[in-house]
Amino acid sequence: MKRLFHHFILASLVLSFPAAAPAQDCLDCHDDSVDESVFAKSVHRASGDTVTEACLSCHEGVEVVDDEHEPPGPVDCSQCHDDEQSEYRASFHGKSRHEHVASCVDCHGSHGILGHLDPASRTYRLNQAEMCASCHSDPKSGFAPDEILKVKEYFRSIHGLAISRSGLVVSATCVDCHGSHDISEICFDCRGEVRASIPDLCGKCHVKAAREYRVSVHGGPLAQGNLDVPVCVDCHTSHQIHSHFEPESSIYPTHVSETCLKCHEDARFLDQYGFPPLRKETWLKSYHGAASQLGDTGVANCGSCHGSHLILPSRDPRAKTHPGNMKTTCGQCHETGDPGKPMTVGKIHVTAPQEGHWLTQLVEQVYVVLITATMAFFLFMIAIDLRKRFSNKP
Amino acid sequence: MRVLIIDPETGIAEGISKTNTSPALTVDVIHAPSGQEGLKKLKEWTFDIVVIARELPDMDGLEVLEQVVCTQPRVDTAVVARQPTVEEAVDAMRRGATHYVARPEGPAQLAEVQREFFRARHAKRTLRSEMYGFTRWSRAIRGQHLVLMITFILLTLTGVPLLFPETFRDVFFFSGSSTIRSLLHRIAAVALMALSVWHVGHVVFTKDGRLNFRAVLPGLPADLKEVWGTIAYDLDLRDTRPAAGKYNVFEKFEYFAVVWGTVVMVASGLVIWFTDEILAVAPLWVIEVAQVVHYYEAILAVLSVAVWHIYNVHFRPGVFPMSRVWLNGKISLDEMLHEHAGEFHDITGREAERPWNPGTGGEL
Repeated sequence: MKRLFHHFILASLVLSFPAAAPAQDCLDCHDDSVDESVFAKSVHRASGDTVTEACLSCHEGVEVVDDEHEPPGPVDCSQCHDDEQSEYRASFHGKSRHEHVASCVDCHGSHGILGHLDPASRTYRLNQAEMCASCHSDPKSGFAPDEILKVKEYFRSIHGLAISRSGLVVSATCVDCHGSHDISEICFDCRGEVRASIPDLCGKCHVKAAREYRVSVHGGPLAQGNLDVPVCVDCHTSHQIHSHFEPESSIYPTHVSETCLKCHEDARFLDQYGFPPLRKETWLKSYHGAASQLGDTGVANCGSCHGSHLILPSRDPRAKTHPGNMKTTCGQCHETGDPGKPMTVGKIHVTAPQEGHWLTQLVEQVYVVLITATMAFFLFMIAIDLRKRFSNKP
Repeated sequence: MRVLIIDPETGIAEGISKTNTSPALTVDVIHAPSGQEGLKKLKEWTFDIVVIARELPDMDGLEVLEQVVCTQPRVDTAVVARQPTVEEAVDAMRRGATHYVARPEGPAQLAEVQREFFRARHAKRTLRSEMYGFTRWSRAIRGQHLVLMITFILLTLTGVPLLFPETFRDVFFFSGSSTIRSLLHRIAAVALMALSVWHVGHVVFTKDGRLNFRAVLPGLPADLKEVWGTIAYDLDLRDTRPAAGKYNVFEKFEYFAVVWGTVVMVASGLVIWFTDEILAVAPLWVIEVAQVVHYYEAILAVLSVAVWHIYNVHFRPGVFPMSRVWLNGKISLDEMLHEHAGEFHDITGREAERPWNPGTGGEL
């Protein structure tokens, strides 16, 4: 067979002799595995004057004798992409022993490699998440269901939709948080340096939020090494981040309290940091809390009064809850008409009866007595009435 | 009450208008000087009483009588004859007259006839009440009760979730349901306010309203005696239940509890509704007090209705499964005798026979 093939090659050489004796370039033989038009657009086509030079820059050590050569060794990208290669080796992918772990070509392709700024490239920002998802959301790839779910959630998140629906290239994709060649073990739930660095990570884009966060009651202690404080992802979640207009968002008006109370109701933190107790109960007792629980998005939630990124203790004059700012804070919803007239300040989270107005206390006590007495009387009357009517005596 | 007088003379018509002094009764007297005119009036209105002169210029009085009875069979009719005879009386009765009298001469005689006529009429109506039930509530009052019931239920359904927000969390599952809740609450509140206006108007401007309001007014010390008397009767310390009037002391209490509750709920509700406007002129504690009041008064009202009212109109032996006063406005003779013996006496002039044996029926 091989001999027959040789004869065929020879015959064709003889026939085409006047044009070229040996094959002109690699594609004369390899046009079955390399599409010339694809290769022509590749970034690597520029590395040689001729196609063959370009091929040989990756497939080193190929010497063609009689239009034949030994199979070349594996391509080593690091001979040019040295830094990327060392980053990759230290990364999650690089250290993995999994047989299908992503290598250079899995993300970048091989002969048709395009620059990451080329809209046709797999690594272009609008395509990059899909590229990662081709392995990470594939059930056959062996990833745990919750990890696959995370990837799917990303595509429904505000970041994912900004990419897929709006084509907003500045929106965060996988690599913005996880890195590309240097993908490391970002584990938002674990405690450590990674956690402390998250505000910087998100702050790359969300500059103002991060700046406010850093001076807040949450960001301040983080800078001093306290890892108990919430970082961005604790309130906003990570992959499934949604706009606060979306009912599924963790910061949708009616979900904010739940998000804050994860910590502010936690007995561990209440003791350790001396949090004021009964935040949830006192809020729910107010109209704000009750209506919010029933799905009213218009009423005040935690963030309406305390702020979101720039939460400060009420003794701080910049705080929304500082007595001097109450007029503005309450005034967000309650337009009282006369801006010169200060709104009367009252205790909001009333934890003990004596903290409320004396009249509310009195009214409450009177009603409790009244209701108890009335009900007792009614039940007594019903009881004796029933007895009489069933006794059948005159 | 509307009376039609078909009589060429004006004496009786004027006499009736003048002699009616009873405050409980308005009498509209319509006078028709001829038979034809009388029959024409009969097509325009319904009457309680028709008085027909035996001698008419255009027709025979007894013919007019026949036509009156044909058009309005339940009307009371009286034939007035100048020269009454027994034969003619029998004839008139056969043709459907309820009375046949000699033409009264002078006011004293007219008054005597009138009294006798009303007495007979009252006896007839009482008998009808005893057979078919006593009218307790007019259509207007039933209408007010219906509106009150609907608004109360609606206010309860849309208000109580706020008292137990965590329990009702999942009930308001679709977006916008809280808006619907608060909107319905306000619509029902406005309806309740409108009902209050209607009720006050009914009490002030109608005879029915005034009579019922007078009946529901508390009287001391009679009402306190009635409370003690009821308790004593229920505990076998007394043989008879106190003879209650149209409204017994507990019904009076319930009525004023509703009045009080409505005033409190409307006032505190308006303060909460118009928080911003109130805050512009009043301190924050006003809102807080209004909220506490609205909260507890709601609990009091809902519990009272759920326990006391529902027991009395649904579960009390004798009315179980439901009192139908709110539908047809009537209570039976049994119930009248047992629960409102005083009113029975007022209406019929007879004593409700006692002792009474509940559950065995109301033998008179």
